[in-house]
Amino acid sequence: MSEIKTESEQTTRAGEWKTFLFITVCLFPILSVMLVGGYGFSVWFLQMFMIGPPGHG
Amino acid sequence: MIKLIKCFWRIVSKPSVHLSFGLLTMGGFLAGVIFWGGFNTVLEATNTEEFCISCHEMSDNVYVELQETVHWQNRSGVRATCPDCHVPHNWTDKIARKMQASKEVWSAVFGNIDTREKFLAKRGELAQHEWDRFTANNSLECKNCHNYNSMDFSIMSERAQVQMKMAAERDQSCIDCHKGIAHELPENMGSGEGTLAKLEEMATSGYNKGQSYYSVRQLPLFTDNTLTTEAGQLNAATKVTILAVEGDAVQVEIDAWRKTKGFGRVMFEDFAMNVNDGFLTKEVAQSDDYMSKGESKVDDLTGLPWQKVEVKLWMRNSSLTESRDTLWTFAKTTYDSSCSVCHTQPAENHFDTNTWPGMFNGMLSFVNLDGDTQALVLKYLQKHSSDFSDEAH
Repeated sequence: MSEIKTESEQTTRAGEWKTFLFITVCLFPILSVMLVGGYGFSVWFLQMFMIGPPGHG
Repeated sequence: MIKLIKCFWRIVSKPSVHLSFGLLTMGGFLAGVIFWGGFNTVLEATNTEEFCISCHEMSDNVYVELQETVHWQNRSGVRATCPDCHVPHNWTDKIARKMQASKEVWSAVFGNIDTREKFLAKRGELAQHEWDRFTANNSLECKNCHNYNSMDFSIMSERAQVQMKMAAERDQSCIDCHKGIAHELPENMGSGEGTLAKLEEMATSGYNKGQSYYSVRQLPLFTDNTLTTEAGQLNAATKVTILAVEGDAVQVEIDAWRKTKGFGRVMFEDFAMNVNDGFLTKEVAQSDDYMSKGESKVDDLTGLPWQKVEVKLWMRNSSLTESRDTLWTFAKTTYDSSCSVCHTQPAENHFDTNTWPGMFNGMLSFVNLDGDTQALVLKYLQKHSSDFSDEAH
């Protein structure tokens, strides 16, 4: 068990904060929008080429 | 850059050293709440009329046209906004429609329909997209407000009753008949409505006993002169002979044939010819009080027994004309204009009387004719078919 980490492996408090904020504020929201958008596009393309406009019931 | 991503991955892939478990969970949870709220707010915002008409393609064309219609202003003070009719309410379909709007954004950016002329030239295509959609979902967005089960047929006009009851029975898609009610129709697609109203004006007023007349449209029949109990329906351009005139009501005789298989509800103009004269309710068709029966013959081609009947019923003292000529002229114009939009229409005498209904009904979904006009045009085609034409074909 080594208590001393090398410089490159050192995780700083600031680094973790930055990463955390980046993930919650930018990355995941963007990914979510892309996911929903992609889902919408794929349904649209399916409607155009295969299943036709949305039906009823 | 690669170093940055590597550094990012190193932090992300390991348990945090400095930030507590609670903080991370709480932070992620809060961010999720805020994101979801924001996402829905944006979805809602793009689902408002203000958003729709923020591009002039919409606000200068379809939005202005809507303001002339009952969906904009009416005695009940309820109105439909753009997304009520044009955005699916089901989540998946809604998201798909939102993505589809990328096409509209593209058009707006490149100005594909930035003038009235360009819009008018494209209207037919654009309208067809919406009609296809409404046809596929059985007019779901209409039915979100208008429900067959909630319709009180008794307070509709007689004419509306006839059509709406038939539609309700089949849960018909509203758009089948009601095209062009919220925006103008594409050019060359005016419905027969206006012209038929003129025909209605041409209908003779004051009918002489003993004389024969023709119905200008589909008309309700009644069992007695109070015109309360429905007895059936007279088809358009059908010959009736006036037996009695009593105030608002006339008693008429319909000379018809019917097939005696089943209830014999449908009346035909002639033996073995499927030229519709109208139909009777089950009660009337099975009762001897309203008709005298004549000879019976079997049609060799179909093996069906036919029976001649003289039906005596009451109807409203209106909407009859002395000759079928004006009706035929109107029907011919409609046939020529509506059917030539897509193809060269066949000559009337290209088919025989019993072939026309199948041909005609197969094409109906491509044109915009109201029920009365449909009935009239079909009858015109049948009465000018090869059976009635001297020209050999």
